Amino acid sequence: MESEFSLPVTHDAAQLVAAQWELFAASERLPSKVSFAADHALTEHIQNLVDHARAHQLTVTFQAQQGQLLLTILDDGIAYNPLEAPEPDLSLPLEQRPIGGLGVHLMRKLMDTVHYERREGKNRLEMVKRWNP
Amino acid sequence: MQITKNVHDTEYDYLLSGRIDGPAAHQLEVEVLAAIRAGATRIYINLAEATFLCSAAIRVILQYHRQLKTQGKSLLISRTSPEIDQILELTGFRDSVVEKT
Repeated sequence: MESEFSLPVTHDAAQLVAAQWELFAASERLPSKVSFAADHALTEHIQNLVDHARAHQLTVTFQAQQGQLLLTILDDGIAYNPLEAPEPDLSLPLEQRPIGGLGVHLMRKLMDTVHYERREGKNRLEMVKRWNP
Repeated sequence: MQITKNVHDTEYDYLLSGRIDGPAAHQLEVEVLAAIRAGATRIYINLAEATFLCSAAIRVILQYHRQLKTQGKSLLISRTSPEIDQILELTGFRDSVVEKT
């Protein structure tokens, strides 16, 4: 099953996508852990796009088949690869740890694979989550 | 998100229910700042009924946890749901900001 939609990049884009995700996850009866992980990953990435990519338009695709979910987010902003952000050093004491970068970190940890490419003037992020059907 | 506040002397308890996304994180920050200005020495955030916790909200919690700690005061998460616990664990901040029981 696949769902694709486009929307302008407004301050509430992350919330709008989350609402679409909730509908899709329910219609596909995805396991709650998969739905939860994807919800977070989507929200974090789209909020980062809103804040950093200077994009005007997003196209989001949800694809679910037996045991695998593929999320694709395409935006027309400046070249923005969230995966260039360094992984936080979890061994540092709280007082020394930077607070930024948590959104990308959560995306990486919650999804099984995250892939970025810049293609034809657009940023493309693909995230995969797998489960035992 | 719904916020329910209970104040006892200089202790502020917030119960956050539902989805804590970007706008909710801002709402939380407004509440925490108001509590600090009102003289709070202990702030507790109950996330047992939260269904989603975004990184912006985690940053708010961390920022004011650190700030208050330097002043001999505290901001801690008093309770979590299993899902929120997982998110906090992934950030590596869980043990620092969740109240030990």
